Parts: sequence; C-alpha cells; structure tokens
Amino acid sequence: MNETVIQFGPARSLVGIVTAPPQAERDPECPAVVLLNAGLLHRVGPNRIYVQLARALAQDGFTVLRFDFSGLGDSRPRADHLPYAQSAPLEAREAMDWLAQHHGAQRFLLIGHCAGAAFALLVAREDPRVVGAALINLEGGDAQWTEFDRIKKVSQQNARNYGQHAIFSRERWAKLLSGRADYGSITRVVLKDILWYRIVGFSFRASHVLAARRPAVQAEQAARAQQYLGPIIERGAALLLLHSEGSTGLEQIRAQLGGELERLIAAGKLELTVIAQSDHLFTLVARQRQLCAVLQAWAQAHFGARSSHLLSASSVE
Amino acid sequence: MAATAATEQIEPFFFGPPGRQLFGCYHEPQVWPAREQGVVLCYPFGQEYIRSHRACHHLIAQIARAGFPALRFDYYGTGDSQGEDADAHLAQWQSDLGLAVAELRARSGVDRVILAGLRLGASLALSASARTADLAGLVLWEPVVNGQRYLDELRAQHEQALLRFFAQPKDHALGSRPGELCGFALGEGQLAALEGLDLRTAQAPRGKPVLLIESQTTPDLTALHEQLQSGALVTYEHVPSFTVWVEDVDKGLVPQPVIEAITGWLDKVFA
Repeated sequence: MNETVIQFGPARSLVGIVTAPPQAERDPECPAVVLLNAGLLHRVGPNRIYVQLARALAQDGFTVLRFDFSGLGDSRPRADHLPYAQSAPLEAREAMDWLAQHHGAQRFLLIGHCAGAAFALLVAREDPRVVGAALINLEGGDAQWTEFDRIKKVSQQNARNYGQHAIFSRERWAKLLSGRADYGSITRVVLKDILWYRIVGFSFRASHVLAARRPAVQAEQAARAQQYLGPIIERGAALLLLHSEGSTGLEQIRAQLGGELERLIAAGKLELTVIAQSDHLFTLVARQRQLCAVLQAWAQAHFGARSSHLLSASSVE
Repeated sequence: MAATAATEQIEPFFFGPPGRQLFGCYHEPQVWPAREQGVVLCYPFGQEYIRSHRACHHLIAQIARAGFPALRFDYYGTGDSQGEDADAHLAQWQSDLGLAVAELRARSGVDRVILAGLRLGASLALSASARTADLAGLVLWEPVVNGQRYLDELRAQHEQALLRFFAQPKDHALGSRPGELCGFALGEGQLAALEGLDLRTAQAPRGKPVLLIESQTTPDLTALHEQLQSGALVTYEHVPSFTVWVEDVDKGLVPQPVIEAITGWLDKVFA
C-alpha cells in the first residue's frame, strides 16, 4: 500500500490522497473508490475514519481517493463562485476522471458520510461509471426533519441528564432537597425540552405514518424512489444504505420512500445495514471498526477479486 | 495584486523518512520580499484537530499573506500522515516537529523559525523550543498546560457525546485509564505522556518573543504566563472569541479575531 498526494481539477486546486494497493496486487477490473467529504470535515473524515477506510480498502485491492471539495480542507475555493450544490458533484466527477487518466479506472464506487452521502447518491444517479455507492448516515437536509432531529436530540439528552444521571446522583438530590437547585430551569427543561418535545416528535412521526396510508402519498413515494434510486438500480449498480441506530436520516428515508424501501431491499436491489448503539459520527472506536468492516465486506462481496457479482464492463458503457 | 484564498499557492506533500511519512502543506509567502522568519504550525490532537483544522488553515494562510513562509503538518498517527491513531505519541512528535522545521527551511530558505501551536500543539511547540536551533519566537494559542486536567476535560466531553447516542452503547466503559477519548484511540504511550504533561516545568526560550493568546482565561494559563515571564519576552493577549476546537465543524466557524491578533503580533514583532 502506498499513499500519494495529488492536486487535480482544471486549476489543480483540489487536494487529495490516493491510497493504492501494492503494484503487484492491483487489479484493473477492480473499481476505484472515491470518498466524499462528510459535511465540512476535511478529507480525513469524522474521527479520521476515511483514513482507516482508505487503508483497509487498499489492503483489499482497491485504489482509493479521498479529497477535499473546493473551499474545504486544503482545496482552494473556486474562483467562479459556482454554488456548492453544483460544484461538489462536478468535482466528484473530476476525481473519477483523474483516477481514469492516471490509474486506468473505468468503474467507481462512491462512499460518503452525511452530506457526502447525498452527493454520492446524486453522482451515482447521473454517472454510469459509478457501479456502487455506499451512503453513510444520509440525511435529507429538509428544514422540518432538521428540526425534528434537533428536538429528538435535545429531549433525549435532557431525559438522560435529568433522568438516570440525576436519579442516582446523591449530590443532585442534596441540591434539590436543600433548596439550592434552580427549580425554574428544571421545570422548563422537564416540561418543554423533554415532555413537550416528546409530544412534538411523536406527532411528527404519527403524521407521516398516517399520511403513508393514503394512496396518493404511496404513489409519491414510489415516484420518489424511482427518481432517486431508479437510474442506479436499473443499471445494476450496488447500493448500500448504512445508518447508525436511531438515525433521523433513516427515519426520513423510510418516510419518503415508504414501502418502496422494503420492496427494494427484499428484491436485493438495495442493502440496508444499521450499526447498533452508534452515533452519527461513529465516536466509539469499536463502531468505527465495525463501519469499516461492513464497507469492506460490501465492497469485497460485490467487486472483490473473489466476487461472483462483477458487473460486466459493457453494462457501464 | 494581493493574494486571495482562491489564488494563493499551497503545496501539499509527504515528507520524512520511509515508514514515518508525514503530511504537510507549505504556504508560500504572498508578499515580496518575504520575511526572514518562517512559521511552523503545530495542530491540536484528536477531536480538537478535526474541529480546528479549518481555523488552522485560515491562520497559516493569513500568516503567509503577511509574508512569512509557513508550514502546517500532521504528526505521525494523525491526519493524513502514516500511522494509526493508537501510534500517536507526544514525545515522538518532537522529532516530527524537527523534521517539519527542516522541511520548511529547505523549501523556503529561511533559517529562523517561529513555532506556533494550538492547544496540545502549543504545548509541543513550547516543549520543543529549547532544542530548536535558530528559534525566532513562539506563538502559544491556548496551550494545554496540565495533561491530567486535559484528559479530564476530554473524558467529560466523551461522556457528553455518549448522552447524544440515540441508543446507549452497552459494551462501552472508559475505565480509569481510557483506551479512547472523543473518537480517537489512545495508545498507552500517549496516555502516559499526557498524564505527565506539565508545562509549568517547561523552560521558556530565554530572550525570545513569545505570544501567549487565549479566549478563556484559566488559572493554568495565568500561571504559565507568570512562569514564562521569567525568561522570555512574553506578550499575553486575551481575545474574546469562541473556542473553535470544541465547536461543531459544520458551523464552519473561524475565530477571525484571534487570527488577526496572532498575525498582527507577528507583523509587529518581526517587522
């Protein structure tokens, strides 16, 4: 395995690291992997997971490029002020172009976390060179869902802080009973941040469950699944949704795709893996290792040297 | 024409011996003639590194725009450099810093070097200053003064992060000597080095200009200030701002007042 720094794009303004298997172990049939920035985090990824992942995939024979979109990490901002929503997919394609030109890659796997997952999905939909996409904790960015995610986190954190942590704390009981506690603050947190937010969250979920029973909504869900996933699935590309347990992103996907999600999973068109007892950023080292292992197994199963599910070159032309 | 973020030249590269390749970014000075001193930036550690990377980039870019050749680099076991998280080791980073200083000198042609650092990077810069030949000065941005208190802070942040899990991890307990904190594995060597870190025993670079800058005054920083005054020419600045190393990266925040203060000090002292 070796790692090299590259600068690419029309202005050589994009900075990336290519992690490649030893020369003798390179397989030209093996797709190259591109890792897309997780939100505003630079190319090492959350908790440096992208570095771990790139090295692990390179050990398995994949050439991996992780790079920074313009204005992130070490890549310079664009001089043309192209909006990020347009420049990021364009630059993901430029990353593939670079790998095609310098490593002879013709097929690609895109892997992204959070916003990187959204861009991976967009590019996979439009670029037939993409034969697989792994979307880690994909979230929609819709304002209502963002607010739902916020109140869910606030109510849960406060419930834990004021619940199990307080109940077993002698110090906090002493403060409460001696009149030194801020009763106004406690009341506000319990009534608003815990109880009210739970009610709001429950209503939000219930409204989606009820709506999903309406045929018109089901038709919208089917159309949405076709719009976002159809082009990828129809050309036989592999698609993996990978979520942390309790992820709001997964709730949103379920609400937006409805029964289509389960149908696609049952038909083997889409895989869904949930990493139990994890958070959005995979803070725990054991979960980081689990995440890498899942992605390695997925890549190996679909595209590894021993795979029986290799896409033919003609299917991506 | 003044350089802008879209036109400034950054040269990313690996350096160091085989088996210990380090990632660095060299920022060319953006005015001519360039200054006679170069700046090497030492990043914080772990989650603080991730969260402050953008701010560190902005700081070094602004320093380069002020005419200083500048280099920022990842220690072994961090960022893009070789090595795993658990290989990171504060004591060995001193030799990494030595390699980075040599690299800056080779690329820029300057002899005199200013070591700048944020949090644990500032602690490293101060610790390494005595063995850095042709040291021109030091910039210590909110250094970690006491390693044990730093570990306690990280532990508290780690426990707060656990509260935000939607499903509580049943198989995780930190123990008295944690093997991981805030998303990063901690090797035994690093843990011992942090436990033993106490800047109040570090020697100030005699007669050299030192900037000690912070946005949250603590007894540790006040004590460090008093200690440094015994030997170095210390400027102490409190600049109201947020602590970028604990902020959510997705806010995209950069503590511009602190960056301006550091650049202004460099500009004045090394005019």
